[in-house]
Formats: sequence, structure tokens, C-alpha cells
Amino acid sequence: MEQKREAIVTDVEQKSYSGFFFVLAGILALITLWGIWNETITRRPWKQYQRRFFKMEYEKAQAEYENLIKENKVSSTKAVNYVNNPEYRKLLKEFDQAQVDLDELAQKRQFIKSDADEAYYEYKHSLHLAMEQGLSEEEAEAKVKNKKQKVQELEDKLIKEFDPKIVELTKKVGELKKKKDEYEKAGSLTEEELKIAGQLDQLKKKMTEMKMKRPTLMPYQVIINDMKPFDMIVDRCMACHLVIDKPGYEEEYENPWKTHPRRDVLLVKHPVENFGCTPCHDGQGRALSVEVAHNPKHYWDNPMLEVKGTKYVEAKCIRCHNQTLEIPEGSAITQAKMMFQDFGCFGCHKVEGLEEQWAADLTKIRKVAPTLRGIGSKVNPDWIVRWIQNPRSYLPKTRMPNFRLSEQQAKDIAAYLLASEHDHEPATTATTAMAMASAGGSDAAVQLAALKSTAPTSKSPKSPKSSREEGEELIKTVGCLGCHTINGVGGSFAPDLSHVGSKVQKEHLYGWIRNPKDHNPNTPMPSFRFIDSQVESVVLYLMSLRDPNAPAPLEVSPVVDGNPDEGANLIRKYGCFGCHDIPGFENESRIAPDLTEFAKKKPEELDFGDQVHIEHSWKGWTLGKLADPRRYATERIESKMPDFYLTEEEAKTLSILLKSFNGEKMTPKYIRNLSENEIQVEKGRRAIKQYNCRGCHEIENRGGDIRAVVAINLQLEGKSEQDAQLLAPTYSPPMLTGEGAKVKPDWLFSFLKSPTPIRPWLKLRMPTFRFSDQEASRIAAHFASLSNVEFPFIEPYEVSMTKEDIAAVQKLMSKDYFDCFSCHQQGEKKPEGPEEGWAPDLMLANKRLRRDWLIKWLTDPQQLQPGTKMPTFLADSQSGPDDVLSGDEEQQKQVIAAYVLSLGSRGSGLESKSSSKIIKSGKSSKSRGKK
Amino acid sequence: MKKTFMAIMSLISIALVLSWFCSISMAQPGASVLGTVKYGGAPPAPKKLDVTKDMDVCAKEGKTKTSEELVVDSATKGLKYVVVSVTGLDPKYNYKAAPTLAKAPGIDQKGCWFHPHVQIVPAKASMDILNNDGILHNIHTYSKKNKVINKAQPKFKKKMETTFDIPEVVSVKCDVHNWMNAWIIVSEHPYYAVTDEKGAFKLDNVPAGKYKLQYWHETLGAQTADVTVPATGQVKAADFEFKPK
Repeated sequence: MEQKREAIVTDVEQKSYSGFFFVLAGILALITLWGIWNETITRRPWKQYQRRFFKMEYEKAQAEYENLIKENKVSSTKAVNYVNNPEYRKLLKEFDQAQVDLDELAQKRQFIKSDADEAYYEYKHSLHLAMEQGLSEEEAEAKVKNKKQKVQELEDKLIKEFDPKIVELTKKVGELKKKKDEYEKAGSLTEEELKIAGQLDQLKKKMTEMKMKRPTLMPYQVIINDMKPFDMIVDRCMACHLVIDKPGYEEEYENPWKTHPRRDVLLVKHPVENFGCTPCHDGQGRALSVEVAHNPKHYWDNPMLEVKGTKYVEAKCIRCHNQTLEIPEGSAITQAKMMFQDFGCFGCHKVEGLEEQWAADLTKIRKVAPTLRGIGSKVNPDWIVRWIQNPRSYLPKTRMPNFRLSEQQAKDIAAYLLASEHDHEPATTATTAMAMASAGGSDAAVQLAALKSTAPTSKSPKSPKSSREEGEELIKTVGCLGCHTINGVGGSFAPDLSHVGSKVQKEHLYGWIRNPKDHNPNTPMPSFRFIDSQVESVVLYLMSLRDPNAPAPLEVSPVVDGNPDEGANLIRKYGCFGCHDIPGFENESRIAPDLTEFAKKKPEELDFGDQVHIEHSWKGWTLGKLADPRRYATERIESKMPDFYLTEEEAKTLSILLKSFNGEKMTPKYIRNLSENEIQVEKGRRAIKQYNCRGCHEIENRGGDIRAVVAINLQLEGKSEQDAQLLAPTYSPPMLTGEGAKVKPDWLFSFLKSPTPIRPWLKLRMPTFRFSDQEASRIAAHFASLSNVEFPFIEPYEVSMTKEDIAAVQKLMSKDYFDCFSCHQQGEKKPEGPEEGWAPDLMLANKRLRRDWLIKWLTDPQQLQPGTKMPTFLADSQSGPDDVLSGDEEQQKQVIAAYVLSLGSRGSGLESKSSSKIIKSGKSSKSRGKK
Repeated sequence: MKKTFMAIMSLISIALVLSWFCSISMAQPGASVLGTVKYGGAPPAPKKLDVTKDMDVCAKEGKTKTSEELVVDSATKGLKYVVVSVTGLDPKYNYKAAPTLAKAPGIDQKGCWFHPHVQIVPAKASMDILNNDGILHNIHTYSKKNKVINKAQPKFKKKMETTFDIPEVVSVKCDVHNWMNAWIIVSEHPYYAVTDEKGAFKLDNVPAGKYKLQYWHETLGAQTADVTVPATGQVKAADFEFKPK
């Protein structure tokens, strides 16, 4: 036995492993437990958020429920409880019992009554039988006596036993019913109470639901697999952000249980199911924990973009919205784009894809600064040196950056610029004249320039009494201050003229003011059609505006003092030709790094130089660079970027655009393409920005800044401050919101090409911008498209009226009625009084106005043009005269509109026609406008 | 028991409400505030305005009209058309949402001139606009808070009505006759007054308290001065002077 056993037991088994197995089993159990824990809890952190959300919702519903009950105390207890009131219950029971008793008793009585009837029949039947057998009545009666007695007994029973009981019970039932009704009436619900009961019901339902609700096992996720450049987007953000696309969780809620801000626009137009979250916000969409998903630390690849502060999230907008200048919901990125363009960043940096979109038809990206051809005849050499060295010493708000050059370097550049104008072919014929003017210094050249310009013929050649005051008045009143500022008053679109006398040369100014486009075909500066004497006054005034802080004139001209070759080297090095057109630098390429993929740079790819105090992140580097561009320079690494004097805020804004430079192309499907109509609108918007139309006009409810200047002018004319403020809109250029619905596009086209005065009370005048046909039709199309009206050409309206209508309208417009010509001009027929009191020429109406607009105008002019002097004549059914066209205001408007349109039509032969209807014709033809 | 108690309580509350109403509608008699406004400089020669249109109606009294924007009494230097108002009043004295106010006097266009030049119109009160000239006028208001009115008033419309809802200063012009100009001061409570030819004004029934009086003139601007109003009687506000501009 022993031996056998030994044979089986091996050496290994001689040692006991139970302890070891126990430990292992223990570990396995722990690991299993951990596995379960990990799988269900640790790896599903969203469950916690969901649980908290359900709890929160439950508590909210509960609070609301209790509040509702508290607020509507009486009705709610009534609503819920009167049925359960024990007193009512008891009463109900008693009533039911009494009713049952009564019914039973009545039935019993019915039975007895049947018995009584039967007994009576028996008695009568027996009586009749007996009588038939020949018995006398008395005998028969005696024979059936017992039967009669039975009838009597039964009937007695009915009367004595049942009837009082029934009466009593009926009374009891009646009383109980009355009590019950009282209860029910007191407890029944009004409509309001029913509503509250319904609300309570719903809240109760929600409470139960929220109490029962368990967090989902799988996270809610959005999968998008056709959005390039991503392979596949899996966004699980809504596992925690449960209500991000549900309204109703706005202000008082906290993330992650909060509705997306501006949900009505942002999420309605970009549903989460189709767009996910990370395409706009970045971050790790697949991640399930807060830290990994949001990863705010800068060493993560795609940390979530900032939403507040520096709104980097807006950098994503332009990946799809790349065809418009402005993005309605992206004010920061829109501003950043404007800055990038206005500061001329394109001049030195290339950003692939961007320029093409922005330029879209805008004659390439223009150089943002003025041409320097012929600069020697335009400005003082001294001023050039001062300007190059420190632009802000002359213009505290200029966009020209500071290159931190030494005086000698500035002189070298000036020497090159001044020398080169002789060496190189100037751009236009006008500059030839300019060059001649400066070379010869004679008036003859100026005269030549004047001849070339297309300013209207002057009445008197060179009036001797040109005065500085006249010039000042012209500058301040005709509209120059819509773009330029003088001594703090005016717009900021064009250079500040406060010290322009220290800058420019008088001879140049003559030619420039007469017709700017002759000197620089790309300038947005228009001509104000000044006659010669006015030009002289204006020049006289401008030249008197000198800088009191200007440095002493240079002793030696920079032409002598500077080295042009050195200057050329500096221009090449600093890339001045990026913004300015400089002779000899026509074919240079951009000098600064390509920014196409700048946003992808990791902190370790950025050189922080000796700057140790700057946050080592993309944001830190970029903001540091923008605020002080030479900051990262060391002895070995030179920085050439000039200082744009960006404030911290501006640097932050601009950096949002830089954040969008990642070189990725969005899938075409997701690009927001513009409709034909929107393209027209957008092209016009760009032209409107390019020419700063908003400096004077309010367009799309923005702009019209010149009103401030008008108010000041009105005060100078003697109006009180209060009056001036109130009157300013009336004396400012017309508001152009809704212009498309007002004027005919072909009229607008020709007006833009060659403006003619319309409003005699305005001292401001629409200048001549010398728009190309393309530009003019683009602006006209813009307004038509904005108002969704036909374009491009509307035939003149042909009007025919009946004799009665003509008689009616002549009466309506006569002196005793609306007296239209008290203010309105009619061709050569002018109204009484001074010109400022006149109103537009009605002969223009047919060419200029749309008929539908005219009717609206006659109804409520203030609504279409706030501040207009045109009063309301036919606002409602009481305003017109009763003795014309039987007092029908609508018809009165129709005949006035028809008559006004007939004034300017070709024949104007109203009387010759006799058809009864006014014919409206307004078909568009393709023949014009799109040349 | 309970019923009696309730009845008593409701009676008391009705009495309280009634007494509150009385306290407002009867508005303690208050005191009168008197004062004069003067022009602190040599009275300037009145501005002349040219009549340029509709001469047969407008120029009946001459081809120029005398502007009323700065009317100074040559003897006393009293300044006419200054609007004096109490500011810092308890809002309970403001006109209620729908005031049962007597109809405001209205503005008359006569001889191509607005009569009166400056007037006070309670907010939400209806006022008449009259045209006694028999030619086309238009009433054009310039204001920031109230809706701008620009209504033609042809010959056949002798009378129109309008209301101003919000207290503010409204400038009135006629675009047909550009020399015509008037001011309507839309008032928010009853304590407004316009100075007369001698520059004198009187505010009646002003509730007792410490206030700032506001003096407004169309060309000389607005200024304030303190005043303490007793419960009854009258108080003389310090003489006020507008410096020439």
C-alpha cells in the first residue's frame, strides 16, 4: 500500500501549493473584480455625468412640482384630493347604500303590489262566477269574503308598511345627493386648475422617468466619414454633453449640461448628426474622459480650441465659409481677416488657397500701400526720411509699420526712391506729367496734368480770390471727412490730413485733387468735380495744415546724403515692394516665410530665441511675435518683420486667423457655396468696402459715419447742439439699405459712373469714383440682389391714364391740395425759395425709380428713409381728400405714381392716349448692364 | 366668527386702498415755486429770418420774421422760452399709463409760423395740430425716443391730432417753409413751466422736498439748480442766469 502510494505521489506533489493557489485565485478574483469595475465604471466616466444629469432633472422637476402646488395651494389640494377625502368617501358610500336600499324596497313593493293585483283579480273572478251561478250579490260577496279580505290585507301592507319607508328613503337619498353635489361642485376643476393638474401630472411622470433612468452603456456618438482631411470622425462628446443640441438649458445651467450658445444659428445650421463637434472645436472626439477629450495642455496634438477669450474656435469657420468677406457669427475671424488684408500681410507672406478666395475677382490682391513712382514730386524729401524712420511720428494711427531703421538707412532708401523716378518708366501718362512737373518745376506741367484730367470745365479759369476759408469750408462740407480725418473729426479709412501740409508738395496736390485716378489708377480716392478755383482754395487750405512738431529740415538733401545702392539693398531686404509699387522691384518674390501651414507648428519647431518668459506654446510664440516682431532675434538670427504697433487685443484677434492656416483642404461637400444671387451680393460688398461707401452711406444697417461730421457742421451754421444732432440724418447722404428695391439698376449704373445732383439741400456731394463698367454694374447688381429684384435692365414705364385720372391727379397735386411743386423740381420749372428747400426733380422718376417703391414711398416715406423731409400724404384711409376719386387713398396713390412716372417718359403725351388702364411694363432685357 | 373676521379685514383693506388713492389724487396742496431766468449779457439783436416762399400768405407781415430762439427783455434781461422742470421727483408723481389729462392746447400754424414757439405737452396726452393758413404745411418732428412724425397738412386738413408717448425734447420743423421752427417738451409729470417775456415762471402744487430744478433753453442748453420746497405756501427759487454762448 505504502509503496503503491509512493509510486503515484511524485516529488513535485510532495509540496503543498494550496497557499500559492489561494493567492493566485485571490488575485484572479481581484483582477476579475477590477475588470468588471474598470469596464463598467472607470472606462465609462460619462455614466457619472448622465447619472448626475438625471438626478438634477429629477430634482428640478420635483422643485417645480412642489412650487406649483405651493403657488396654487387651494386648487391643487382640491384637484388632487377631494376624491380621496374620507368625509366625501363616507358620504358617497352612504349615498350609494341609500340608493340601493331604496331600489330594493321599491322592488319589494312592486312584488307585493303584483300580489295585491292578483288577489284582487281572484276575488273579482270568484265573485263573478258565483253571480253567474245565480247567487245574489250579497250571497256572492259573502262567499268570497275571505278573498276580498286578502286583497285588503295586501293593500294595507303596501300603504302602511312600504310607502312611508319609501318616502323616507327617497328623502334621504335626495339629501345625500345634495350633499354629494355640494362636495363635487366645491371640488370640481376650473380650466386653469385642469391645466395645473395636467402640469402636475407631467412633472410626476418626468420624476418617475428620471428616477428610473439609467445611464447608457454605450456612449452617444456621431460618426462622419466623408469629411476630409480627417479619416473618420468619431465624436462622443454628447455622452456627457447630453443637452448640447436641445433648447432650454441655456443660462442657469453649467457645462456639460448646457445648451450650445447661439444654438438657434450654430447648431440649427450645423446639426450635430452631420457635423459632429471636433471639426469646429478640435480635441479628441473619441476620448471618454474629460482630460483626454479636452486636453488643454499645449503638448497635445489637437487641444480643444479656445471658445472664450481668444476665440480660436472661429478659425475653423473659414474652412467652409471661405467665399465671403464677412462671417455673420464670426466677428473675431472677420475682423482678423480684415486686419490681415489691411496690414498688407500678403505682401510678404504667402498663404496658399487664401488669397485666391479673398481676391475672387478683386483684381488680384492689390498692394495695400501707395505707389512710390514719382514720389519725389509728390512729397517732401525730408518727410520721406522722417516717414521711413518712424511713420508714427507723422501719423499716430498709420498702418505703415516701423522697420527700426537708422537715419542713414532711411536716407539711403530715400536716395534710391528719389533717384529711381528718373531712371524708370512711370506707370501712367499722368505720372509723366507729374515727373515733368517736378523736373521742370513749372506750372506748365501742372496745366498739362489738368488738361488730362476729366474734371468738369471750370467756369472761370483761375479765380484770383481763392481763399483758405473757402477751401476749409469745401473740405469740411463736401464729404472729404467721410474718409479723412482733420483735427480729430472725420473717418479713418484714408490718411489723417491734420498735418498734410508738412508732407506733400503743392504742385502734386493740384493734380491729385483734380483727379486722383490719373495719378494712381488703383486709388479709391474719388474726384469731387471741383472747378479750378475751388481746387486752388482746397490746396491752399490743405497746405496750411502743418505739423508743429515736425523736425527741422535736413541740411543736406537725402539725394546727396544717401547711397541709392545701399537703399536698393535695404528695400530688397525688408521687402518694401510687398506693399508699395517701387520702380526696379517689379518681379521680386515675397521675402517672408510661407504661412500656409503655420498653425501646424509645434512649440519645438518655433524659435523662442532668448525669450524665456514667454509661454512655450503656439499661442505664446505667436502673440509674442505679433506684439513685438523682433523679439526672438539673437546675434545669429535676424528678424526682419517690422513693428505694426499691434495692441495685445489686436495681436490676439490676428492670431485667430493664423490659427486657421493649416494647409488642409475641406471636402467640397462641406464648403458653403454661394448662390448666384449671393455671389452678386458678395462682389458688391467687396467693392463697397474697397471704396468705403459706408463712410457716408448707411448700407445694410451699418455705416453712415459722416453724420457726426454733419452734426458738427450744422452747429457751425448756428444750430444748437441738440438741434444739430436731431437734424444730422436729414442732411446726411441717403441711407442705402433697400436701395435695390428703390432705384432701377440701369439708372444706378449710370449714376455711379457719372453722378448728378439729386438732393439740393445736401452740401455733401456724391463724388466721381471713375468706376469701371464692371465695378459700377457690380455695385448696381449688389443692391438689386440684396433686395431680390429684377436685374439688370428695366424698360421705361409706359404710362397712359384716363382723362378722369388726369383731372384727378392734377387736382391732387395742385396748390390747394398736396402742392407737390412747392418743393419738387420739375425739369426747368423750379420751386419758389432757396435751393436748399427744393426736393428732387420729378422728371427723373421714370428713369430712376421703381414703381412699387414709389407707391410705398407715398405711403410712408419715414420708414424707407428715416429723417427724410418728404411728409406723409397718404398714410391711411383718412389722410387723403374726400373729393378726389371718391376719397380712395389707394387710387390716389396709383394716379400720383402714374403721373409722376409719366413726367419723365419720352412722349409725356398723356392726353393723347385714352386707354382706361395704367399699363405697367417692367421686363428685364439682357442687353445692358453686364458689359 | 371666521366670516365676521374676514368681513372686517376686507373692509379695512378697502379703506386702506381708498385712502391711498385719495392721497395721490388729492395730492397734498404743495407749494408754489417762483423764479426768474435772466440772460447774462447784452441782449443780442434778434435774428431775422427771410420769408422765401408762398409770399402772399407768409409775408403778410413783412418779408422777414423775427426768430424766437433767443428772446431777451431789453429792460429786465428776462429770458423767454426757458423750460423749468422739477427733476428727482418720486416716480409716483409721473403721469400714469393712461392719464386722464385735459387735452393739451396744441400747435397752430398761422402766418407760416408756429404758435407757440415752446410748449409743454404731457406724455400720452392728445394735442391738436392746426393749419390756419390754407396752404400746404407739414409737421415734421425730430426726436430720438418718440416716433418721428412727418405729416403733410394740406389746405383741406385744418386739424390733425397727435400724441407723444415718451418724455423728451422734440424739435418741430416745417420742410415746406424752412424758417418755421418750434419746440415741444414732452413732460413726464405736472411740474413743468415755460418762462414768460420777463423770464418769470411759476410751478404750482409742487410736493414738499429737496429737488433739482432743470432749466432748458433751445440754444443755451440745460443747467440745474437746487431748490427746497416747503409743505405749503410758496418758495422763490434763486434767480437763474444763462451765460451767453
